[in-house]
Amino acid sequence: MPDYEISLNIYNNTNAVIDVSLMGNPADLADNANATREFQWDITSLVFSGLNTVSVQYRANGQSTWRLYEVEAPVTSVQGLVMILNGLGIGSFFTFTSGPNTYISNYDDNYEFGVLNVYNNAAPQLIYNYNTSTVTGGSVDVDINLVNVLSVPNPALASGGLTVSAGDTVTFYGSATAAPNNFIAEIYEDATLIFSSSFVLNFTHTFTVAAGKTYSLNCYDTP
Amino acid sequence: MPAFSPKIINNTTPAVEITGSNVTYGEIKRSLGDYVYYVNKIYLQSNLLNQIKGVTKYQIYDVNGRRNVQSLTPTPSPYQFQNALYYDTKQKGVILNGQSNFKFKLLPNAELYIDFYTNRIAKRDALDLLNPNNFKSLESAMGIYTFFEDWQTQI
Repeated sequence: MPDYEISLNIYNNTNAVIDVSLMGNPADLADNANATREFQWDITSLVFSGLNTVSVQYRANGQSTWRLYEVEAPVTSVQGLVMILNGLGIGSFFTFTSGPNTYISNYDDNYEFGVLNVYNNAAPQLIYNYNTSTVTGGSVDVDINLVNVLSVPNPALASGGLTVSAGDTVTFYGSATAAPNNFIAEIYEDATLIFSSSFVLNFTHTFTVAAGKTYSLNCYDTP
Repeated sequence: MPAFSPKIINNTTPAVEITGSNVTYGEIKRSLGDYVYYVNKIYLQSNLLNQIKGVTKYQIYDVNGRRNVQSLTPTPSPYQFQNALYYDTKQKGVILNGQSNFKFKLLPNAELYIDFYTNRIAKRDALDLLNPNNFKSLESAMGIYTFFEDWQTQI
């Protein structure tokens, strides 16, 4: 068998560590050597807390329909997110920072990439806790997608849970004819207060439910 | 749900650039299969010492679709100054046939030169390996024609 030398020069023209797949055949989609078209996602705003699902759209050049690559796995860091995305096997995802911003990037001349989603796919929870004794008249209500699902007349003493799905619109509202003591209405998204009202006979707030979140609707009067 | 739309940038320079010496990298890859290379030795040279050490995964698929993965671990001498080394792969069965590849991490701004020292076999070599004068032997067996009288395996 004749001796033969194969010489290659390989350059990384970025400031990022890139996973390389070398000397496979042309069908190796992970080999994106010499590709110049870059798809870049700015993920600076992404908070790595409670995330368990990653999805990214992709399609070959010239196709009109997106395909979806989706993985359920805990996502706790940018490097973990990059590893999950590289499981797709198309191009090579890598991460880099520029100033205060963090990016994920992939170079590919044969495939296009679309929206990247990173989220918690767990069913959201909606719980309520009412404890008023001096408010009279009117009621405290909850509508889900414009349908009234709970109405508790004042003084309101009730607690429980309601069934919601991600994307539902919830309206929390109340009215009274008399509120001698300070009447507080609050909404928490997990541990974050997203609405608070020192009740003056009426309050209302509408929000959209997100997957993986717990919402607490509280009503109470203070001495 | 946090959703991120991509920004599409048409760069003039690729992120990972691979060039060959007198053929393109794409031409080398397309030849795999028609040509099969048995890699005896690999020469590595880089501007970064950390680039030539570490683990490279070599994987190859057999005809049944099973994947065999082995780790190649070039190790420079702690006393050397050059960012270069030879890595012997003769006993590791490293073959480039289009059903195998290497996976490794390319460091930021790294320049890496790789030289594969191989034995090459092509389909056209198969008959010559069996017998340098196959066609003449065939002719003699037929006993009639002299078409391949001056047949040579090389020009």
